[in-house]
Amino acid sequence: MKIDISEYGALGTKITLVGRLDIAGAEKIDLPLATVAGKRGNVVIDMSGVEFLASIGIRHLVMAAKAVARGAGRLVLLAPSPVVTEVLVTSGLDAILPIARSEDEARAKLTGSESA
Amino acid sequence: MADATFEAKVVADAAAIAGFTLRTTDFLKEAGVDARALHHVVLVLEEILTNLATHGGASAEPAKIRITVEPERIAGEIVDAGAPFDPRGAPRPDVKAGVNDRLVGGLGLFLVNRLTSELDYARQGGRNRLVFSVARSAAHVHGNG
Repeated sequence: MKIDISEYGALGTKITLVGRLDIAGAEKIDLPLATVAGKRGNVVIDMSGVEFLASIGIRHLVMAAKAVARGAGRLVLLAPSPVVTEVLVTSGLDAILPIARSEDEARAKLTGSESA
Repeated sequence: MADATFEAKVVADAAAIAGFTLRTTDFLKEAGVDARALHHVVLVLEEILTNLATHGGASAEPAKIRITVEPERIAGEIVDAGAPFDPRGAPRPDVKAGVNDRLVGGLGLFLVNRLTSELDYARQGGRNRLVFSVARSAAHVHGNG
């Protein structure tokens, strides 16, 4: 699991995840994800490079979403693969972890120009 | 062509589970399994083994796993000596709760129930025996998923 953190224009922080969000992957992103989510501001997580997502990974994403919400920000997942999307949708998590199919959609969800 | 089969014994700890799910992924890829079935079979293995590591109690005996790639489905069997546990019908997590009060504890077993096409359990000879299957996608049987 690789994690890369960058600024997302003026909108917040972008986190790019590449690899497997399994037990080992979740452990690796734990601290950096919590650090970013604990700051005030929005967070976009680019999921396009995540090839595997299990409940432990979802748990970390939900914890991050909770921390971001406490700082009055929004968290959006960008472009997860079809199979990762199926896991998220099956979990019924779309309200807490909204999915954007494109950068435009992610920006719209963050700026509130489209309801999440 | 004979069905491809993969067998392994896995100690229920994080490092062993991660290594095992990687080997299983490689096996299913080589067998030409579509991306969806591959993902969900590995998800079931990870969730059940993680649950065993967390709640199964101390057991020196590794879990025995067998995965068979059949034409229409992937069949799996997990036998472990952990505490008796039937994962069928695990309570649905409160998926409609808000960001601040969401309960995600039961999510793994909920996904196992939802993403398998068959799920059977028996307690036999002091061991849990879980049998499951995930349907292969007809459109992707030949591979690229």
